[in-house]
Amino acid sequence: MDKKPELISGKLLSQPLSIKPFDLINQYQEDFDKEDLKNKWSILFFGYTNCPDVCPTTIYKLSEIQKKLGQEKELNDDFQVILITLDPKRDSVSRLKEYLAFFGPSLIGLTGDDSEIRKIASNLSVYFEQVGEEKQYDFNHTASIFLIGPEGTVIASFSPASKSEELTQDILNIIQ
Amino acid sequence: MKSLKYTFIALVFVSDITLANLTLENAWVRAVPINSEKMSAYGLLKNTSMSSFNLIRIEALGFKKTQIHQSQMEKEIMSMKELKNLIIKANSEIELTPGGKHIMLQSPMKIFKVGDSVELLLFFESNYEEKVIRVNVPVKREAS
Repeated sequence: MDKKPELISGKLLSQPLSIKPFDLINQYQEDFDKEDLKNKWSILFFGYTNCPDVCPTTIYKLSEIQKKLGQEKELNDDFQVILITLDPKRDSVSRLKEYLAFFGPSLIGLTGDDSEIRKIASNLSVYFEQVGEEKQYDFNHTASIFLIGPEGTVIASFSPASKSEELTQDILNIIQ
Repeated sequence: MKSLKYTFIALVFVSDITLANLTLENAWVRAVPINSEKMSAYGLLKNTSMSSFNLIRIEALGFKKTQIHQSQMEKEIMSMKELKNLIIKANSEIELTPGGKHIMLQSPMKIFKVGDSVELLLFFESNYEEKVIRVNVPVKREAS
């Protein structure tokens, strides 16, 4: 039996978690569903583009990891980083496109019907709650970073507070 | 009009404070994509004096609203709350950092890009007096 890698920045799930069907669209207005998570590794997290602190910090960190894995391990086509917005009301396709282009050309942003977002959030036990004023509202939300394997199942979750180097090392330990 | 107000305040109070005793060091504002409604400023608030300083208000030139905020994580859930003030005790420091305490800059009135700077005015109370320090904070992608 293969020995499970010990992680610094997160934990391996005791059993891979299946992703239930969902139907969202990416920033290029293309359909994106659970099949698009198969045959490659995916890093997935939930956030919103109006988030001032944690989301841009996490996106920047993940875009750097994606670059590093692409350059050093040639994982460009086999590794995708995905942001699912919790704020489809403000995060339109065009807003996601504009926002993610700033951080990196390969990042994927998903939006869609509120019910579809709730479906996959619930599947991954992601909590979110809108707080604050009418126009300037924010979200309290689960900020975990999920690793999804080529089978399309969730394999591990990581803390967003983890250092970039630790996250990279943990991801490499799992996928290599 | 607003810049005139800033100038006046700065002239009145900056001479009141020994800036070497209270500083915001290694400060930076995270660059964000255009049309973002919020930005965050970070740095190290350092008080090397024998008095405590209470940060009661911040103004940022070019933003409609500025607040002190704290992000916090409990059971993997990230939340954020406004802090009404921040006390920097004598001979102590407080780190403003991503995922922790930070200065939230809301509703920019112009586009701030990497290489630009944001002028911050930090208003403190100490020994029943109001003091202010002014800091020009560079906009960067990440802390250097």
